[in-house]
Amino acid sequence: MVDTISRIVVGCTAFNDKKLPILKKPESLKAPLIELSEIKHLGKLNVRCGKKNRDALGKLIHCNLPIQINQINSKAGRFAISLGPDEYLILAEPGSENQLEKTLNSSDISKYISVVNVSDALCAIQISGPKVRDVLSKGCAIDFHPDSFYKNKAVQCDLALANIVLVCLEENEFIFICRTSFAEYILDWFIDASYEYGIFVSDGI
Amino acid sequence: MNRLLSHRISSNGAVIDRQKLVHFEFDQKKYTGYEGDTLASALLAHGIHLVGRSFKYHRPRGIFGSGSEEPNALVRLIGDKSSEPNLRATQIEIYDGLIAESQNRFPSLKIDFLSINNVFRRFFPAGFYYKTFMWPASFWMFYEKLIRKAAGLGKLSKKYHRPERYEHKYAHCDLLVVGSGAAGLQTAIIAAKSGARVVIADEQHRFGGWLLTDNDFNINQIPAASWVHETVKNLQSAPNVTCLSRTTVSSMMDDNFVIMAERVTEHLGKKDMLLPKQRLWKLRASKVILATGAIERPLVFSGNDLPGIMLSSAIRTYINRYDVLSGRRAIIFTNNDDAYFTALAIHKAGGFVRCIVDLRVNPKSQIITKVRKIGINILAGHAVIAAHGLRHIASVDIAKYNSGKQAPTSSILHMDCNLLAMSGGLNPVVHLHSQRKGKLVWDERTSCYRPDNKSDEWVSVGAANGTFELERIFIEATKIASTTIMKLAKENNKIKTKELVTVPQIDKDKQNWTPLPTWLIQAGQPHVSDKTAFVDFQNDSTAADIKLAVKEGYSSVEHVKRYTTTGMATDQGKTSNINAIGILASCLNKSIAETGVTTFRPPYTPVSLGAIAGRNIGGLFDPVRKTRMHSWHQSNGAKFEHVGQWMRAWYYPRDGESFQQAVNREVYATRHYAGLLDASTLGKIEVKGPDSAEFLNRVYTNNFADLPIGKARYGLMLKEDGMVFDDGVTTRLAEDHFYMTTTTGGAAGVLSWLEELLQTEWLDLRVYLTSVTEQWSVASLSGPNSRSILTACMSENKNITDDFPFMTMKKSFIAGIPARIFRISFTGEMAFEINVPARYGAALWSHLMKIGKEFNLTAYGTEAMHVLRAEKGFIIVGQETDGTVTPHDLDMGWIISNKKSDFIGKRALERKSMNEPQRKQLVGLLTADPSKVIPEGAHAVLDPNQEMPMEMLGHISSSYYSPNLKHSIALALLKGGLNRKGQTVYIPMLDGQQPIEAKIVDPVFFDKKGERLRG
Repeated sequence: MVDTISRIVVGCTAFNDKKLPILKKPESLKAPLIELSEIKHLGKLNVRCGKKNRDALGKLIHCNLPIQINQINSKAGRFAISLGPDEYLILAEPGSENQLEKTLNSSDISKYISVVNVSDALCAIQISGPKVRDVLSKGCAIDFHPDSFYKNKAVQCDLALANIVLVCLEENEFIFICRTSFAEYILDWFIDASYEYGIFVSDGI
Repeated sequence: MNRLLSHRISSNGAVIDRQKLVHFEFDQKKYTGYEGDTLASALLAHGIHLVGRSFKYHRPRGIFGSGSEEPNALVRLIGDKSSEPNLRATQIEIYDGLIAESQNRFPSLKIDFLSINNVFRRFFPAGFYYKTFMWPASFWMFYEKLIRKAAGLGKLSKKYHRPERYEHKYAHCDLLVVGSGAAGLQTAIIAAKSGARVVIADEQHRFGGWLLTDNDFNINQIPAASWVHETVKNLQSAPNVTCLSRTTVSSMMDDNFVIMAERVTEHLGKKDMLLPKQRLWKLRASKVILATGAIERPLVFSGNDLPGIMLSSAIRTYINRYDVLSGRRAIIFTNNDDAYFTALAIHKAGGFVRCIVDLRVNPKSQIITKVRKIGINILAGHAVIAAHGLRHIASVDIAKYNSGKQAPTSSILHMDCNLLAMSGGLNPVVHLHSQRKGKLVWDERTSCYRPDNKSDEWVSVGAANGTFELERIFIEATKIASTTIMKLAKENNKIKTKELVTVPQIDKDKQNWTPLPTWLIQAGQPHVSDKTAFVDFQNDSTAADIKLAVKEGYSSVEHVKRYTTTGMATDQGKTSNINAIGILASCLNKSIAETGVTTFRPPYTPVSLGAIAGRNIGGLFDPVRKTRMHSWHQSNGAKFEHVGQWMRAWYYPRDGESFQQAVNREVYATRHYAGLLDASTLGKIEVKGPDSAEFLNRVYTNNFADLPIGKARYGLMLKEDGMVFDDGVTTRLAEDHFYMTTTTGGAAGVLSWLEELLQTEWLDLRVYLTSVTEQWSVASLSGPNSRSILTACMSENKNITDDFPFMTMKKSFIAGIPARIFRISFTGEMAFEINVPARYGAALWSHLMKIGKEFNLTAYGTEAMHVLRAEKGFIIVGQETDGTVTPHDLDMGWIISNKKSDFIGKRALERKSMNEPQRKQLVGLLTADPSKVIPEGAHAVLDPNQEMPMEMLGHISSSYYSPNLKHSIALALLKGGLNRKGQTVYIPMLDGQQPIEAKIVDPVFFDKKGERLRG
């Protein structure tokens, strides 16, 4: 039996003021094996640029763009995720995205690149716990063996019926980025998929 | 208790736990069994053989096999809230409270009314349905209902809601081993030592395969059962190995994508489980080793389907695994050595083996000598030519038999018995190999089809490869495992190949694996008919059916399969296929290799629909996307409609308003005062780069190169065939920067299409596209008061609204929120589309509604939007277009640029047929009766009194009641419509209603000059 310990109203941005069951846990377990929370208001920029301007752009962002696809680089709170040969997603500290966008769009290379603020289009959700890979593998065709999906690796993939960008931060800690309108579905899916392990959903960071 | 013990023998070291009694129910009667029993073994322990009636003739049928090959014992499991039909009793593990019932009988198993079919079976030959029910053709619908009731297997649960959980799981591995018999265990343990990621799956509840049945010998000087136990323990403790019991590998597809159904908690029969009932695995394996074993073939003779006649290997399995002796007076009928082990097992269990009837004239081997020494009578060169009994076998007819001449050569010997074990040789389980389009080769020595083993991705080993002697199986498995590991090691340096590999040594009685293939025992007696010599037990097809098919001219194995339905039941002919091919071959005087074999298709055994659906049910069936204004719509009583995955406010009924009343009010208010629409779902794409203008010029029919900065333009996008694909307004934000909008439903498709063009066709264009559909929330403010409301909302530069021409864009702040404001209109009124970063969407909406109150601002939904745009004759792509409509058909020739050298669809539009005057063209319709609204999708005709089928002029694409015109209006695509304006058409109705009369008019019904729009 799964029981709902308490219910609170969470003013999450992505979850559309959805009433969240904050803790769902099987009686037989002392603690839930999955934790989920939204990383609110994270700055997100979609950046397109070719090889020529990659290093220059990295300098402006203060975080080098990864050379290989499916990799991330991080520096001083900023993440650069490679999405394809010429496409990157930059995660920046909340509130810094407008200034960063301006800086990039007024730089010398602005003609040859595209910088689009997608902070509100996408949301970032952090998931962790000893069973996180098992839950992900219920809806995602990616190989989650630690030898195959390791720290600083990122992929664009489907999680159940939603498209996400999945990033491995630590062995049992991931963030994924999805379109905001899919956040509620993903949350429902995650709570359901964690049924056997128990899940703790927090108000967000 | 007495009943329970009747067929149980003293403990034999079997898999059941005698300490744990289990209570279950079958056909409303209560029984007991032991933990570890299958439903079949528990029923046999009570002496119950009869468990079902056959598909066509309703003949009594008994438990026949001991695993997934079972054709007869299909039962229905009854749950609290649902039931599941057609499950094999041989694979159901019993649990306390299990309720099962037999199928295909009425009113009961013993008395079945439809068994009358059996009496008349000579009237039901192969192709009976095709031959009988074809005339008159229209009667098929009637016949079908009767046939469906009489035939069919099982009943579906009427409740579609399943309380049980079924889950999906994706997995990856270096090596998948299918089957855990001797070959499977040996390959898996070698692979496990190499460090490779191994998955080993077996459909049975514990690992061991046939070693669970036949283990009366030593492997590496320890008892075989202990060797199995040790090996399994080693596999389970290896971190790189996943052991999956109760897991059927049902499908193997390209690239070793494998579907497996794991019965996780099904066998426990408990509710409120945290774990799912079943888990459907979607596995990708670099290599697959198929150690799927073999299935015994029955022998085909008259009356071979009577309960009490079983596969020899199954009888042995019930004795050795479940301590169940299926009958005490047994006769063995065989063409090979394997059945001699069954004779020994029956003898050891305390049964009486009356005789062994062996088709071979002079069989010799170690095991035969051993059996002979015990004193069991062996009738070599004999055959059972018929079995007799009412609901159970009572006696058999035995005669000397010449396999070459296919005829008995002596007088008949009658012998009574209550159990007949038959063994016609072994069929390797080649289903998965066959599913991957692997070829099969006929092996003369072992009389079976075995895999050609030519693939690099998968390989068969052991009995699945036609290797039936245990010593040879171990040698083969060791060799194949080593070579597979070598191949894997080449691709993955973490896999080691240096581990010491040894072949297990065994001391087992040697058998001589050369069965004498005999496909059909011809009785040669006038009173014995091969119409009861069954080949496919589940589909009730007989040797006589195959003979008849050949007589009627069928010669291809695939055709005979379909005509006689042999091998087409849910067991996919696991026991019948090869016998059918054998009989066909002898009828055609061909060899089996020449006759060929049919293809096995997925799944190996049926997969529950629940497992296929997984958790994609209820609220998780399809994502529901909501806009940021959703809570406002909801708390203001909006009714919603689904547009793709989006949920959009449809209309906002007030105080008991009907749908039509609410829509009329919203439409009226927007035309007279002001309306506000949530347009956030519109697709939005940022187009950036030095070649953006050139790019837009190529994808739209009109010119975008000359669009000034800050101006917006409506564009029509075509596919290469010249047909309308999407439309929307695109605005130039800077020299090299555009903001494109698309239809709500087309957003994803348009972006993919444009990306494809950039990535595959126009590599020279320096353009980047980014979807920003969800970055911006959009409120569309429309109506005569819209400018005043906007001015009132501006937090600075209030005067910018004074000079804000149609089709322009301005950036400003509304209530402090940064906004892109577009003066564009889909209603025909003066309108402003206000785009703000989505985080401010809800705030913007509330603010506009608050300020707008004094200007009579009304929220309107998508239905009112449809009416407003239809009054103006504005098209909706997907409603007025369906992929066969050109801009000319829409009377929108004005949007096609003559100046541009090229754009997508230009060449197609120049084809002669595209300007054919009788193409369907967009027109407006006004009904003669202004209150009558034509149903959308209805067809228009010129003469409503013409004979059927009527000549149709075209169809109604949009139809509404217009409260502003106080008239029903419609848009239609009619043949040659542009030249028909003024003509009258009729729209015939269903159900005897009068046709609706309408006049063809211009599609613009309201403000034809667009004065309100430009205002």
